[in-house]
Amino acid sequence: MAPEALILSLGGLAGVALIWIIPARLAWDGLAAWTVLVLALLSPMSAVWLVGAGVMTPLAMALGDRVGHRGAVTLAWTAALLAALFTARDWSGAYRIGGAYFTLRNLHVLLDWWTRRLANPGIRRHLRYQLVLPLLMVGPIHRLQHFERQCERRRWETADFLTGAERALFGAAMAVVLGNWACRHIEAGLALVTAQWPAFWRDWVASAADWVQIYFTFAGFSAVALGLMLMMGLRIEENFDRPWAARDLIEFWTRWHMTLTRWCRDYVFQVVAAATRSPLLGLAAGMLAMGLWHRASAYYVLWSVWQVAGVVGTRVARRAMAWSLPSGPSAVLGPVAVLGWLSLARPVLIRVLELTPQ
Amino acid sequence: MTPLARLLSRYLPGGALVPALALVYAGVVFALALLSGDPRQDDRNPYLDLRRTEGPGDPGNPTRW
Repeated sequence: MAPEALILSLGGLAGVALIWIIPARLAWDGLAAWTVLVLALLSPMSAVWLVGAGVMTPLAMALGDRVGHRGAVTLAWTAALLAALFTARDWSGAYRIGGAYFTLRNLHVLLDWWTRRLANPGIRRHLRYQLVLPLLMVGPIHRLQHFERQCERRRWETADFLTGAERALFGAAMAVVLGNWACRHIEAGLALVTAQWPAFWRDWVASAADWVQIYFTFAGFSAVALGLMLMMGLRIEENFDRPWAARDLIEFWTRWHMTLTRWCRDYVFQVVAAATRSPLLGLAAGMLAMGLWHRASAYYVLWSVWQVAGVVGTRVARRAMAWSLPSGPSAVLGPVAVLGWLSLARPVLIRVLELTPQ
Repeated sequence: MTPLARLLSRYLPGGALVPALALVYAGVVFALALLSGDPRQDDRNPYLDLRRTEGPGDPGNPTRW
């Protein structure tokens, strides 16, 4: 485990103790202060960025309420938040922690305010929502309304505390033992087996192994985060629902990184589909947002096109096939086909990019 | 009761539940302690938002603009 990941996980565990020691009315303020302290030690840049965005978002909303131009304020502050996210990886010399997640949380609050689903929460409430240490590194992209409802209902439950602790422990094992140690050995073995294969096939196998490794690491750390939150007495939104049981690509995207998928559905797909009356354009915009969230690069633009093609192809196949496989074979062949399509993207798209003049 | 305790209680007599749980937890902690000293290049995982920024002068890779 990277030392920073270990510090964040142990810091989250200390946050659990803090939450139950501090008087309830100050508990989340105390956790917010602890979050800033730990983050500032690991990545001062990220701490300034997170607190700055956390303060500025409610201020921007207050300005919008005062001058009455909500749309203009939303547009300007959205552009600023996205510019910070897309340029952050070029800020040299520091660790970057959590920006991809807290940027989308800021945008969720801003866009819900713009559409009048949410009143300006103010700086203190907004910082309490943003500054939750266990949720910094891998999300999920939880929503303010759900978070505050959970905070109001919070009370000590021994069973929940122990279930959360068990989930965090097994999540850490999933990330470290399976996602790191086991996958490393499996990948080394696959590299030996495929050494004489044509480069394209070798890259495809390596890409498939990477998807499996990413799942164990991401789902493992997500389980740590959600387990720690349950130890604090909160049930936060889930990020995974057995994605490798999905029988086609559409089902996969409803099970993998669910909080990001829902974010893109609510704030990109629905907006574009409603404005253009075209679900296909909505899908393309949603997938583009999802791709660029991973990384602002030409590769992820093509990756978005690849995913749109996969989803459209899946819809066509669903309609065209008057028959369906029995549940036994489709439970095996479906996930294999999904993994095959997802992992095929990298060897194909990298070769497409190599053909493109620089 | 935790999920693991519920699972084990189906197969174990009541008296063996707590030692069995303790054994599983200790095994997981031991495995974590043993294997967590094997750092992995986290940059390969776009979902783990924990990475050293690259800086404008870095050569980059095919996934960059």
